[in-house]
Amino acid sequence: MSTKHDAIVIGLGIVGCACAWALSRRGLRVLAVGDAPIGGGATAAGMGHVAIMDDSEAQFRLTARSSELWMALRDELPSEAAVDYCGTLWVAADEEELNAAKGKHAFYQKRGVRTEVLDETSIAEAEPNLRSGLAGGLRIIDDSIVYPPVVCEWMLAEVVRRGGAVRFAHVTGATRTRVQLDGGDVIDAGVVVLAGGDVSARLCAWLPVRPRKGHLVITDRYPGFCRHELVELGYLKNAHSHAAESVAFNLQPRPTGQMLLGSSRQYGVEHEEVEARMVAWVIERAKLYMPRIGSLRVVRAWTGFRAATPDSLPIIGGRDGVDEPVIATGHEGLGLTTSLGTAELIAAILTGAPTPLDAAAYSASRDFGGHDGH
Amino acid sequence: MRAERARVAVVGAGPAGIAAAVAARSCGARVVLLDDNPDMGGQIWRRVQDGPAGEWRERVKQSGAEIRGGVTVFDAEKVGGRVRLRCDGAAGASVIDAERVVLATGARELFLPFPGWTLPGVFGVGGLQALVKNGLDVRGKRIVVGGTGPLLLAVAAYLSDRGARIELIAEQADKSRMLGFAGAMIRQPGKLLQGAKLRASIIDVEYRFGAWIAEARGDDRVRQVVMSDGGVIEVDAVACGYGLVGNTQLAQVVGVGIGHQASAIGERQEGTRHLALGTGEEQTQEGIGHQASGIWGRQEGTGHLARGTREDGRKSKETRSADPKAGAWRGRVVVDDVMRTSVEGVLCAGEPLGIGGVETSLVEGTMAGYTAAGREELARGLIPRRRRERAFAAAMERTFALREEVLRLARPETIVCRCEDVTMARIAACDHWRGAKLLTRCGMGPCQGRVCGAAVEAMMGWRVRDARPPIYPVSMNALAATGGAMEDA
Repeated sequence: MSTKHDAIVIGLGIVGCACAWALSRRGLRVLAVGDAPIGGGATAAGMGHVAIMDDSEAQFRLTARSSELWMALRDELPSEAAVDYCGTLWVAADEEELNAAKGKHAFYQKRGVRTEVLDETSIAEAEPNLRSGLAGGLRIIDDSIVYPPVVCEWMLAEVVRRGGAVRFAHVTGATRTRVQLDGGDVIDAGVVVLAGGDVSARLCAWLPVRPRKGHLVITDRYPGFCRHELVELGYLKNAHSHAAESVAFNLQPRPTGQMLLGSSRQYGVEHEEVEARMVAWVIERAKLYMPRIGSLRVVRAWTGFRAATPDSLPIIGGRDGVDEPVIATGHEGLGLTTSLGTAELIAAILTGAPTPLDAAAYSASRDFGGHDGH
Repeated sequence: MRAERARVAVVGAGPAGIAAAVAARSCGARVVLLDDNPDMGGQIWRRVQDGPAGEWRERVKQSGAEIRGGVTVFDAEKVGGRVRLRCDGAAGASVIDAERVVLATGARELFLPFPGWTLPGVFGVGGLQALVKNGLDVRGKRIVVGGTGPLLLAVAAYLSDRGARIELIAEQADKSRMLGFAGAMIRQPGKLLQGAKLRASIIDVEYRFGAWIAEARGDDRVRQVVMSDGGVIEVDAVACGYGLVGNTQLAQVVGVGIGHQASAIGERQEGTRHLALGTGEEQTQEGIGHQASGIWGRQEGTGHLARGTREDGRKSKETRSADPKAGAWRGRVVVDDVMRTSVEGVLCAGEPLGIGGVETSLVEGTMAGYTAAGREELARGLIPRRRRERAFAAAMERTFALREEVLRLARPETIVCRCEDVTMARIAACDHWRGAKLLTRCGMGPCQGRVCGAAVEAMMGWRVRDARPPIYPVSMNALAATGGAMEDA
């Protein structure tokens, strides 16, 4: 086989597309390969929320840098990408959560992120459909939303425009420089990047990545029902606990006027069916914050699988001396946000291009603490 | 929220559902008959009180079946050996755990997009009939009826009786096919008579074969249609319908096997055709088909990735169904000889098995009702009748098979998905239904692809089989109430 490709990126979700795009922007001839469709998997299932997070310094740096990169890209993206800087509003139910919000505010302020603390009155003004009596909240002003599949398509179109290619095929094996496809085809390249989301461990068995199922529902059009991406501060306890099942209130106003409601997290469920029980739970949770949401009509529900790691940080980079692909996976619920930072880091690792990010925090060789298994 | 158990629940109170309820009740089973319309009769018997419609209504009322109108079944799931139906309606949300469920969910019209089809005044044939039944005044209105199938005649006659001026009935099928069909009709004198009666009431109207509506023109509403031969007709309204598509969404969400073979009852040896699982008949229980290998290239100037040279030079088996013209793209619920689907406890009758019309629905509904009530032997006694009906339906389907031209009427700028304003060009740049949904949002609106999905399936040959609960828009409250853990007592 010829090695006409400088790099092969496995996976056509947002992380794979971003890596392929970033590498081709730095002059590499890239082949993006994976199961169709473009922007499927967790990317299609996700909310498309670009959020700066503060659970850890490493998470903050990756999300904040990615947020900058999204901001820089906003004018290049096609209008169908539906970029909207609606901001995130973290909702504090009680004084304890409001204190947490103030702590986060201080954290963000110190790092130059624009945030604002809302009290009981101002949160009611900001979001009239929230129930009364909430303690307040924290607004992350420059958070945004985007429609991920269109971004993926745009990125791969850019890859193709720069002499790269896209191939729909099921990958059955991969090394650092070679990919094997279902049907027996073998393709060689300068380097192979694995961005296969929750199914990455199929090609790289040691990866401590587990599928974490989520449910989302979307409503008919109710323009103005909410204005910000709303997330309960209790989410912090939920999202990062590794309990088998949890839900948290998370509502997003789509530019169409539709409301996108989540979210649930489940380990150990492999089937993709919509579970009525989980949908009911997500809705009951939302009604605690927005009682009026109960009368909104749901037009569709779906599920997806996040790629979760034991320490809630993605795995970005290659392991020395091991003939396996360079890894870019494990982004759990932040794949859309962190795709651009991940891609910048992958490009830096492979081409020496500059990045303000420190690769060590996301290293494939880091200690996963004898991860909690599959 | 109301939660209950039932021996037999029948979803859909059209001919198949009514017959199923009557048959099951006649065997002594407790039956609940559900329909999202307040009135029984389904689409075909809507507001029809005389003839068989009236007789069957009376029969089911007398049967002792519990009839509930205005109830939408938005989800079905196997739970603990029973079939759980999740419902919503004027009376609130409810859950029914049934031992046996008969899916008699009927059919909807197939709209094939053509330039101008979204203008006000362009209706589906059944849709316009329903509006007139609900009081729309068509007196003196000039109407062209176009599309395919016997429904064109029935609706034209109905509109004519209510004072409309039918300018033309345009049947896309060629006359030669119709002659073959007449041969089949002779073996079914009752149907021939029905056809003749329909014809008499619109005797002065031209019934043109091999003709179709190529374009509708107008401003704030439709003013003219351009016919396939280039002729222009001034109109006040257009009724257009390309036949029916069975509603298989509820069957899909409960996990029932869907096939694509035309119903072969009557052409095959009985007994060889149990559940099609493993018989070689195509089964599509997969969720989202895998894409065949292919290389995408960029199409000049579109800004979108377009379908380029496919590596294997052929269509993907999983994402393409058979030749659209043969009608095989229509998914059909697969049942055994006595109407059992591949999911235990779930039966199906009528149009979801393949468009068959009232007589087929009545016999299949009766069979499903008997089987659901545990009297399979009674259902078996009706197998020959069903075979005759299905043979007739198969002949109809061949006669009114869609010609290539009507599948190619949409221009690049023609809207295909009305909910999300997606044009033909954007869909044609995609490679399969899921990709089209993700990239164009086609089928993502409130109708959930009920309209555009069938059209896209017919035009593109893609498989559209992605129903998920809720299959109808439903309030968050109803989802919350019906999705919770229910006492199993």
